[in-house]
Amino acid sequence: MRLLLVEDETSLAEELAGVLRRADFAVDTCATAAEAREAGLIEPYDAVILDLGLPDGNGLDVLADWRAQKSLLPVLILTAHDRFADLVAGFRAGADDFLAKPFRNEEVVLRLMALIRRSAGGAQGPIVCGDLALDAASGEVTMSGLPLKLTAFERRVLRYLLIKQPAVVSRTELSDHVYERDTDRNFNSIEVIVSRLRRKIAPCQIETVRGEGYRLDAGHGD
Amino acid sequence: MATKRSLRRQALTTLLVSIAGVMLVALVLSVLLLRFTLLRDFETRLRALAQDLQATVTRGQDGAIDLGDFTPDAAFSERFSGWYWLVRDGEAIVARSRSMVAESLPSSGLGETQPTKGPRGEALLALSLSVRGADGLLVTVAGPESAIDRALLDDLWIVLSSVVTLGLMLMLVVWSQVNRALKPLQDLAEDLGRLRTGALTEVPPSQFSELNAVVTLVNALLADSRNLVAQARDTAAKLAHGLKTPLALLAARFGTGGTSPDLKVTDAVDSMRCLIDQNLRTARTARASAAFSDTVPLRPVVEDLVFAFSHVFRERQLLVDVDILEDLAFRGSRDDLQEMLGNLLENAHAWAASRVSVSVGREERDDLTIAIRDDGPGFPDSILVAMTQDNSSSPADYATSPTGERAQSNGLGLRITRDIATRYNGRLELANSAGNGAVATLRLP
Repeated sequence: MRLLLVEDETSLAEELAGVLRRADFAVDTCATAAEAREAGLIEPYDAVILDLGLPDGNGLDVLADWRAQKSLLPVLILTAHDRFADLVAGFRAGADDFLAKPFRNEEVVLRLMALIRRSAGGAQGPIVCGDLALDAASGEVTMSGLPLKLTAFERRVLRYLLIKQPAVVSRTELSDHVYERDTDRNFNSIEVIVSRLRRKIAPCQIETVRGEGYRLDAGHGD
Repeated sequence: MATKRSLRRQALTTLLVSIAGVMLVALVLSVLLLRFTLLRDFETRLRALAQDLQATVTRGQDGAIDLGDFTPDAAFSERFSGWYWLVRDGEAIVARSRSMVAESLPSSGLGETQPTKGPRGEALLALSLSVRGADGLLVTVAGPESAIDRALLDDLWIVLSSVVTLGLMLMLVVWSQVNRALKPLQDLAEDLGRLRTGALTEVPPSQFSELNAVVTLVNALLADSRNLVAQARDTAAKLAHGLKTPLALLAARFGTGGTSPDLKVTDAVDSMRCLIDQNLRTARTARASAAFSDTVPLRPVVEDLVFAFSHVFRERQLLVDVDILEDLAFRGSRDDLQEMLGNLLENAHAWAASRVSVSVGREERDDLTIAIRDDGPGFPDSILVAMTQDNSSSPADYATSPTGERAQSNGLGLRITRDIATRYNGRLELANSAGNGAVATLRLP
């Protein structure tokens, strides 16, 4: 899953982006309201972490602009302003969740996973496909109850397919959600990753739908 | 420092004593004036009698004295009445009033009323006139000085009653004017009282220019005080927010998944965050008072908070009932109301099993009553006991919520809510319902 992290404190942004990448998210960062406004409308992010006190404006105004443009982007507000009035203003502006600074890393990850799962229409609990299960809280993928050994990139691809299943995910869409903004996108790499995943998750299958993309399937006997 | 001096008492005492003094002086002057008038009347009467006698007395060819038709009033016939007349021919008394019997009067100044002594030693005023055309013939008329004092005494009650009546009327006027003059001060005191309870947001202007200066100053002080409170809150908020971002960096770097995970550092960050939150929220409420008040409609505030918590606690899928009459309002600061209701609603959302209800009404001497119920496990006994004590012991035991990070500070939140309510002369009551769940009731004036 790909995130937009809007935070003007460079050190915090770098550190938090590192935390999120280690949790297998693709993370783009920006430090101003203007950048955030544009990126949120153009790029297909799965969620946004939005700081409110930005150097060129208020994060709530950015959020209001997104909502005015009918954007349904899940937004987690991350702010040092945590009065009840700030909470109300955040949700009234269209935020999906609100977290006060300082925060625990695992709390941010948990909230993001919950946001993404909700935006995909998922109910509470793990996301399951046959023997495969994605713990929506930790982001961990298991196979028949056992942790699945995956590389970070494999985990990104598989989590996205799990969240989107049973829909077909095009290669373009998949690359949009697993690659960061400034990364070279390579469909061949995705093909390689998908091939490796097919071996690791059998009997579950990643079906190739000709001319459309990939679809995760529980496989025979499901 | 308390003082027992009363402006009203001081003004009334000073004015009434002054009036009494002036009235006393007026009384003395009136009596003197009256006596002087009576003396003049007395002298006029003596002169009329003397002239009457002078006109009627003649000396005949034979040298005999003829009194003619001189007929003085009866007092001249009464023995030693003090009213006397006599006619002297040289040194010899040739005629006298019957009141003198056979006594005499000392010679007195001619043409001028002069004091003298009567036959019995009584004080008299006497006037002597010489008879024209009869050399050596002298008439003297005398009257008792006591007659003047008797007349004075007869008329004195009129003077006295007039002066006393005038004095009493003046005192009444003074009493009324002092009260009237002090009434605006009393009104100002009542306005200040209403200001303190939040019924007024500033002291209304007075129709008296002298008091308007005070009103202007009080309102200016109030504005200064509000600004100071706002500045203090802003400073605390800026300090807290300034610290929170660096703390967030520490939490991210040393937390799980950070570049240098270290549980001790993240625990320390948690402690610092709790400390900052506690002090920031205390600073926000430290000067809560109805004196800095607006009128805040309740419904929008409750609906905003319920809306926010419906997102925060979305996963819990709670049913929330809100029952508030449209026109109910809180007299105080919007921030304080949000802080109180936010804490209680957050608590209820965090602990409810399936349902939260908010009902607002007016009871007990028109107090605003806000009841927030949930169907959770109810307040632990330790909380119910701690919250009834005045020593602000933080019910931190209640700080573990099954959901969300914010709810973990609810022990502090309950205490802060209680403290804010107290500053508004209200109270927070916590109870467990007979069936299941907790009821937090805020009673606010």
